[in-house]
Amino acid sequence: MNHPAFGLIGVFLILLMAWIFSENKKAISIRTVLVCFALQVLIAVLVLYVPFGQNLLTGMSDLVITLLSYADVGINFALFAFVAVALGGFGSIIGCLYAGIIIGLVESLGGLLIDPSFKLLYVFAIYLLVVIFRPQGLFGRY
Amino acid sequence: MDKLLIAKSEPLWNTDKRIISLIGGLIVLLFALPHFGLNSFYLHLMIMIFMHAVMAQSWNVIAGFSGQISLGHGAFFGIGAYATSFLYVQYGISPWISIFLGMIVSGIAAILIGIPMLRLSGHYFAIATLLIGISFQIIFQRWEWVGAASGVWVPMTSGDSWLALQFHSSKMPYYYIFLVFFIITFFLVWLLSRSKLGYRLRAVRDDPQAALSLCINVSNYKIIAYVISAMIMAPMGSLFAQYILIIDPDRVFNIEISIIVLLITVLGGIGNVWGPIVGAAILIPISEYSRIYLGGTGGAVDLILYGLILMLICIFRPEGLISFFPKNILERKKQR
Repeated sequence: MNHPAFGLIGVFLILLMAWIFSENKKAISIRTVLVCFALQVLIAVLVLYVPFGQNLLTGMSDLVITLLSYADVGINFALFAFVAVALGGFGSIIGCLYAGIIIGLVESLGGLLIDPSFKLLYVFAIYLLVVIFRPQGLFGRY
Repeated sequence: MDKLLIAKSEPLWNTDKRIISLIGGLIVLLFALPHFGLNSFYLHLMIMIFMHAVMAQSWNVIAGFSGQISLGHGAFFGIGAYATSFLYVQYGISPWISIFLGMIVSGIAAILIGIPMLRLSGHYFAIATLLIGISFQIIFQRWEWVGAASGVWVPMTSGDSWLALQFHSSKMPYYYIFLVFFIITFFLVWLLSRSKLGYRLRAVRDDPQAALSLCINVSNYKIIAYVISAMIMAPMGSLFAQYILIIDPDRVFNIEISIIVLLITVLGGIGNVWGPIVGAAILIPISEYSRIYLGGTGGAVDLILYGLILMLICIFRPEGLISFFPKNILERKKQR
């Protein structure tokens, strides 16, 4: 199953299927297909066997991972921003202000007075409660 | 009058012999596949593809058919996973029974969530479901009775056991179980998409006001779609729990589950019954292979590719990869 021939068979099966399902077989230019196939092989060889290509790929991957780890820190703030806007009502500036104050207070006071491990839940509960009775948010119009 | 007669004589589905034999051949091929000497990695790959296709199909029912973007579907997956493993550990109930208990529980949860939340429109509903998904994770992380953050460890049986749904010598039984669930789910959703209910759900998606004017009870149909969607999701959680035999809130209630089903469906074709298969067959191998070639942590190559493919799809083919197939293959043949 790990023989390279299986991969080639797969590639040709896919191409064959694409050809069978094609609605306009005359418009298929064999040259384009071959050039694209060669390009793919080139990229695969570059990535799998050439050290420069491998380094490029892992470098790119590391870069994205670093970026993602920064984004992961920020996502908590973004989530609260998202909730605050929805709580105040989309498009309402004054709603954002009040929602921000409410969320900040609920999160800190809930953590202080009840149980800090459920901090997020208090905020979510406030949002869900408000939205049940006012589907458009506190100050939203639609 | 002529048109009415033609409409009545039209076949209910695609009666083209080639299409039927193609689908039948594919099913036979899938059943025969493990006997071609696949090693356990390929079996794992196929199992993951089946599982994610069904999960994506579940999201497709609520988002593609009835148009409600839910970002908290991981909750139903987790309920299913906890139902089987927790009931087996605590009360020794066979997973075969608790799969259905999990479906019922997640259906009830969907009703309880759906009644207040499906009144919301657009972004408000999406955010509400996102928060509910995260809330489930937080609650289960602190809930001592169900094992809190360390989760549930399913005790291993000695040897394979169909009753306890555990197989240690080979992945083959898991493959067939997932395959059967996959085929049943897709068949049922295909029936749903052609039924009266399916057309009403699409009417609700396309224009709720117009649907209301045609005496379609919009909120009821949304809830029905949400319950169906939850009941498709739960068995996959149960089977996944039996597949890996250890579950914890960080894994089964992860927000990534809610996101990946969305990615697969949007990539394959949202609102199309066959879209999730295409999406899962493309996205899952990418992530598994990049995990192999780039070491244990997986790297971010799959994420780069996901992002790239998704952007290209959204720009050039908003109806998904399934739209590359000719229409007459997927829909019933027009008889003129």
